[in-house]
Amino acid sequence: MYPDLERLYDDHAQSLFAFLLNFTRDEADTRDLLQEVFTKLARQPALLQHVREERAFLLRLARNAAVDLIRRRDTRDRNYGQFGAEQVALFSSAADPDTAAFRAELAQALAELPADQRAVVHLKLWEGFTFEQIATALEIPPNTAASRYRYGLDKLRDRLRPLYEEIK
Amino acid sequence: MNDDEFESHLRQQPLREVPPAWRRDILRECHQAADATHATAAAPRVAWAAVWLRFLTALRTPQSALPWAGLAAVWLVILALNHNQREESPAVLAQAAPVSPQIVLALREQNKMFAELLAVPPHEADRPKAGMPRPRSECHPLFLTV
Repeated sequence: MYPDLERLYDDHAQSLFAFLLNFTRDEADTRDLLQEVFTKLARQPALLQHVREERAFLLRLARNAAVDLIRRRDTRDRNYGQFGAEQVALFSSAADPDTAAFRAELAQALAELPADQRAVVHLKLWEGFTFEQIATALEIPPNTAASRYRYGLDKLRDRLRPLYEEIK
Repeated sequence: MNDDEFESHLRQQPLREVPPAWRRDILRECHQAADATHATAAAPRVAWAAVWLRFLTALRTPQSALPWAGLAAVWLVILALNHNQREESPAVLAQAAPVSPQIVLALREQNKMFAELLAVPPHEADRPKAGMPRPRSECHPLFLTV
């Protein structure tokens, strides 16, 4: 039996896209990984049979696919933490120059975080996941998720404080 | 700077949307992949079904003697194997048959003769000899008190 791929895409592609783009910082890689995730679902419909939280499960598939991609490119990108250091338009464009400047700075600050912290910060802030859900999605203990979030947020706050105070 | 305020300000930044053109391409490739997987899984079953269908169709055609000859050959092989197994069975049973009474008597005579030669009563032949070392568990240490 085929899974309802159209429904799955409409429900989750936006989240997967944003997560993968933030994780890989490369639009072409994001496209390939998104394709890989949905193709896997098409080939193995049983994967979703006993899944309670589709979003968390699909994010885990996406994250594992991204990590595999990093490993395949091990010769080029030696450091796992450096993956995603490139500039990419992560946020929607803004007409207001201050808002646009803040978004660009936020994207840069996120790029400077280690990939593990960036993933947790992304899921907490933009997916609204609890630490338990993040733990499920990233296959880490909830305490680790909480501490990574705290470290990541502290770095973002330090980095963005001047700009944030200015535009507030 | 309030922590909650900062976090909520970050949350309010809208992420870029997935390019709309990707949907059609990704789903098309997914359906192709699913069809290919399904076809690969079904191929051996289809092949077997085709072979059986061809065979059965050939049996129904009176002009073609080849399928009937093949079927007859298969039955001959099965009968030959069955016959060989039946022939082997009595031999195996004969090997497992009990020893005849004459042989038992001859063995008893031989045993008695050995006992006489060694001057040992036949019923004592199995008793352990005095000089033989006993198991350590049967040894009783001798204590000397001065």
